[in-house]
Amino acid sequence: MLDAALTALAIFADPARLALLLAGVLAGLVVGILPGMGGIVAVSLVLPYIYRLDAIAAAAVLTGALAVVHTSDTITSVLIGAPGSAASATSVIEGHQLAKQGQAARALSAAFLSSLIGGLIGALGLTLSIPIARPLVLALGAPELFMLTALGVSFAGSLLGKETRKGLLAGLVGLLLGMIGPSPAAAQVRFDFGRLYLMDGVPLVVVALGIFGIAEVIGLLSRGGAIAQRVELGRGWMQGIRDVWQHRWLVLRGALIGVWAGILPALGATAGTWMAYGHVVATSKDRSRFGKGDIRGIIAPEAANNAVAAGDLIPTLLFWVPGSASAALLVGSLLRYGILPGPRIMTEHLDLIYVIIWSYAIANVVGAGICFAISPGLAKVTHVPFVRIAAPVLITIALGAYQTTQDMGDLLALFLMGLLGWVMSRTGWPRAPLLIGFVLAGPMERYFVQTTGIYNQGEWIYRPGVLIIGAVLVAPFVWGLVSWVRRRREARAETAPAGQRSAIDLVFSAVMFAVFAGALVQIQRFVPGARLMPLVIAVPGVVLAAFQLFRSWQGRSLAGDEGPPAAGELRSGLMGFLALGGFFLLIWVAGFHVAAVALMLLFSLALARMRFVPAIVYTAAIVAALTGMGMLLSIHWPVGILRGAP
Amino acid sequence: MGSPSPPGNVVTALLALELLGANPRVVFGFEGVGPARLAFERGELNLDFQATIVYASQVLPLVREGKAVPLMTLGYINEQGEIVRDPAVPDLPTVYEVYQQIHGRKPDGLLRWKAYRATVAAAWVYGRGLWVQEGTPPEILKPLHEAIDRMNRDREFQEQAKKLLEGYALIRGDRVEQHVHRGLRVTLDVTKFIRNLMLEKYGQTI
Repeated sequence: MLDAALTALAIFADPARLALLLAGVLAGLVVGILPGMGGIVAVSLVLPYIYRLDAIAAAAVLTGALAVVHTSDTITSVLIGAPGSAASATSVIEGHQLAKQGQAARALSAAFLSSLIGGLIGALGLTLSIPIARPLVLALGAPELFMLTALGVSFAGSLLGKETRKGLLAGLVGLLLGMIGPSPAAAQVRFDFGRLYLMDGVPLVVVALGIFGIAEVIGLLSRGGAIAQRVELGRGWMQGIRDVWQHRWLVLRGALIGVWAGILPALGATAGTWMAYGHVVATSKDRSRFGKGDIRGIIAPEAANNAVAAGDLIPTLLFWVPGSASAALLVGSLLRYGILPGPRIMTEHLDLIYVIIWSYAIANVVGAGICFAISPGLAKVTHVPFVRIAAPVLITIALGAYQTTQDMGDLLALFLMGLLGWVMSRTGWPRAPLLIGFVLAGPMERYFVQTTGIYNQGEWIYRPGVLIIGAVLVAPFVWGLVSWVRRRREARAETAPAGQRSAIDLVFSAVMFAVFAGALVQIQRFVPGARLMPLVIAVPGVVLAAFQLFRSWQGRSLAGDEGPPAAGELRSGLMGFLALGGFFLLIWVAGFHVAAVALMLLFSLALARMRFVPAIVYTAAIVAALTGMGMLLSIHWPVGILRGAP
Repeated sequence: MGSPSPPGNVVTALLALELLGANPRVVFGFEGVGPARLAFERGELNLDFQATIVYASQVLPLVREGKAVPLMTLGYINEQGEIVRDPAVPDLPTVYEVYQQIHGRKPDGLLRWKAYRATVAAAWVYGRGLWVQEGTPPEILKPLHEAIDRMNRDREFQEQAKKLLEGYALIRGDRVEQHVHRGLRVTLDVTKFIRNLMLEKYGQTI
């Protein structure tokens, strides 16, 4: 084994191969930075070029591109608050908060270092687990996998945010959103409301970009000023490195969670990242800083998302069950060289496996190094008045979202998700559980349907694995109940002061209730196979939402950390959404380029008060840069109905 | 047995079982046949259906360990349009043979057989072809057809094909054209039978 590993390393002594690996890394880094674009885009970008290469070189390029996407996507997440890919949305929660406090450098350096170490642990984990992967993968059956997904949603809901009730409701909303589209077990399309776009479900990228990206940009605009009010230079880099050293075991745990999420079929990078985040929050004694910029909330998920891609390769190469779309593309390209996944690959192509592992490790080191090098410059972005960069950010987000299905529905969904995310962040509803619920909805339903189909009436509940996970699942609730009763006994006399009733929270709670109730009504018409899971979601949803509505009416629903939003901020936020709606409408009518120019000019002239000539130059430069980038990545442009698009 | 939903190519396996008179308990909701195979390996399912290329790379090791027992193949349609044993796994009987063993007569003429055969032809044997536009002149078709013969004779191609195509040779379109037409012509009662079976027995619309 060691012998094969060293032989594979010697392959990289060839400068041409190393150069190819670097080309893959560069492609991966660029794609990672662009909001909403992840591994699939990176692999598709290099795919056309590998057909002239031999299998070894092709594997190196592809792995290089895949390995670093989750290193560079952090940059966008931290600096701008728009997730560089769906798997780095956790870094928006914590990293972007740190950037707002002027600590962008600290957040970035901690993230890169964790990514690097996570990637290396992933490569090592991959090497070590190859001989034992088979029993590991086969140990967990459908019931255990179902319980794991339920655990993910429930942990996220109960631990993130101040109020368990709101967190769980957000998680259930995410699950319900994930139910839109084709049912995995019966031939029925659910909650499509007759819209063709919804028949395939809402794309994850659109949800992540809307809930976090759009909501964050509008939130920053309505507050005014630069992203960071306070400027801290230089020392941040060292601080980030010290943070990682201080939390070194967290890096290890995050990476291991990532490898595992990769190995288990159908979980994938996004779920792995969020599970690592949930794990950190769950195991931390002091949870008060989470959501306000806690460095631990960056370290573990960043280590995890780089390790996932390594774990992913196990089901892909050993079982021919690709863990992600990008892994499936990797297999597809290896088939071209006559390399079939399966147990035989270990004996026949061991050299190739080690080339992949080494490529993975080298790419992680190089990728993190490049990110370290370019970030000091990029970090300055946080000190620029935000109105100046808001327009290009919005334009790239729109473009990233549009790539998922190339349908105007992407932009409409992005707008609605943005509005949802903004309202949630203004009214103290945690957004993370919603995204976790959405990500896990698919695997959760699949495993639930399989479980109920394979096992007789509830006998699966008594499987030891299920019982253990179930105990972990209910523990926080039991603990919460106990401490609530205890608190109540101690402080019987003091009644909690009824807070102020917040109109926006009340309206939002009512909408939430209406959505769940409406879903329950819709569900009645589904065929049995498609009905089960939505029912499991909507029933507790209605109950919780009714309770929430009652609490909100009482004025006992806590607002966000910043208190209920001021009327002026609300107004400017709504203005922001109005402008955004206009921008999307213009894209739809006149095509992307016209709309981009209009938005750039509006922002730079009217809002940023730039002078005429610089504004024109700025607009031209941004649009030209986007067009050039678009040609390189073969991006699809919305052309608009004026030019004959449907 | 596990199946994705809608069942797609697994329909052929379900029709084969229907022909033989078996009543499998089918669990839908798998992402594809790959995850279903994992569930089979875990012992959650006890019947499985895979393409030959996956059989060779993934299932054969299990067979050698005694963890899986191969039952039968769909069969392969040769240049004469007959269903014969699969050249990739010549030791295994076809569904046709198994029917004869169980029932002591040939299934030809049965509606269930017609339904099964139609999907074998459409989804498996003739489903993977290269097609050109109608009315392509013969002087263009001829070199293409000859190239197929040359490829089949080519040593290097044979070597590669053994690994990737499980040893199936390429078939010249002009030799099997009639059979393709016959195989793909499906009568209304057959499609109705398949639709009804899937809907009523398995709750699936196709």
